Amino acid sequence: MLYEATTTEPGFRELFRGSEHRQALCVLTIVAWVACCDGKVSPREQELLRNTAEGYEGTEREMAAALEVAKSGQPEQLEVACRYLRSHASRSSKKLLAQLAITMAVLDGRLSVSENFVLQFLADLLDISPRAFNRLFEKTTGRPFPQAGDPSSIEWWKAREQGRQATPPADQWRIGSPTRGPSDAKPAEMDPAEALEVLGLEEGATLEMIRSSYRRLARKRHPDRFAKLGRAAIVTATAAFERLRQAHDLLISTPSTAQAPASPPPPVARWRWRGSAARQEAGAKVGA
Amino acid sequence: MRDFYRLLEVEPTASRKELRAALMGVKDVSFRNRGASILLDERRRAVYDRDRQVLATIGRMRSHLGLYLAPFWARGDMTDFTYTETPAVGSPRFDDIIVKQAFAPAKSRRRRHRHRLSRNPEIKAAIIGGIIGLALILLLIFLSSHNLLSLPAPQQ
Repeated sequence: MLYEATTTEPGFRELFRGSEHRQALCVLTIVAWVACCDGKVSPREQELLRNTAEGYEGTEREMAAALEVAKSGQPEQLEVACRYLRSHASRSSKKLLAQLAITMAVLDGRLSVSENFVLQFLADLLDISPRAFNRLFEKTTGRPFPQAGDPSSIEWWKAREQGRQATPPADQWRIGSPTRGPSDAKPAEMDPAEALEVLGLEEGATLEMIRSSYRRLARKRHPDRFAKLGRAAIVTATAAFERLRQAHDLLISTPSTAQAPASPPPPVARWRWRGSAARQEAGAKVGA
Repeated sequence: MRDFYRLLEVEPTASRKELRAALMGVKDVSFRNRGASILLDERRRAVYDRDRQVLATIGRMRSHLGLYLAPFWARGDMTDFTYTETPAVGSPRFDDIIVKQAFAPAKSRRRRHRHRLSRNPEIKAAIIGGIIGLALILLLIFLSSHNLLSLPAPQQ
């Protein structure tokens, strides 16, 4: 039979049973799986995984086994971690894990098809309804949760190959797009286009928008929130948070490339009682 | 997303020749063109294989965990990746399932905080009995004070 289950290696399962930090181990496995699922671990993700590994409290053997399982992506072994989290993690831990997975998935600025499906699977696994998950995704990334692409359809391929030939605009949220060759070579640097994507903004963002989106995302992604999931999760969140901070600093410092020129604030129809109508009219005349 | 390998009944590691032969056997022209344009192009096939592999893993896990009816899966047409057949008798997976089903606890092991009354039914019964007793006594007092139990004095 084509899809017969392979014999399960007892390695990970036994290590898991004997571990003293089961939840942390499962969290580590899942997060590493999210990082590895699109087949290519970008340098940023590698760095993140290395940091996470240093933060893990259990034995090195367990950690190595977890990373091995994540890389190989075999269902029988991943299932061990999934089952445990589904039945033993508290509701808030599940939500935190979902958030961590989302942050990990969009770390390289795009959401590939595999990552999308993995996130959907995690949402169903952790009993998060689609609406709640969409809300969580928007809060964590500043963009709505996209529909997964279909690499078995010709239209998807045509769109992708056309997009590769033309210069892709920096603010497009690329779904299942090809790996960016040159940018993967320099892990630590960030260009303004990437920074905009990290903050969930489009080209022509004003200083105010950058600041407000940074504040909003920083509140959601602050590493201390993930203390419940274990130290390894905190380390993962810290690295992701670092990236957010780098993006913000870059955009604040470079004046002209990404930001729109400072313009007077547009006339907002703010509701003000008493004499507001006259003020609004005056404001509209000035702004227009 | 469609799983071409499952639909064409071909191994994921099949060679180009085998794929071509399998595709020739397909009667639906549009499907055949679709499969050919993706599977017979090396670069496209590599990307497709990667995503298909992840989806197969997810589908298998979903079927083991019972999540193939979950909301996110039911959205798209994921029947190609839903595996609901029971494994062959004698395979390690089969024994696993049978043993698990036989000895699985009925409820999840997560400790749920239950109210003290529901944990001790005797206390519950005692309290309810006491309330009913009190109510009966009050009723008796009420009725006797209004002289409803005794006969009314005959009017002379």
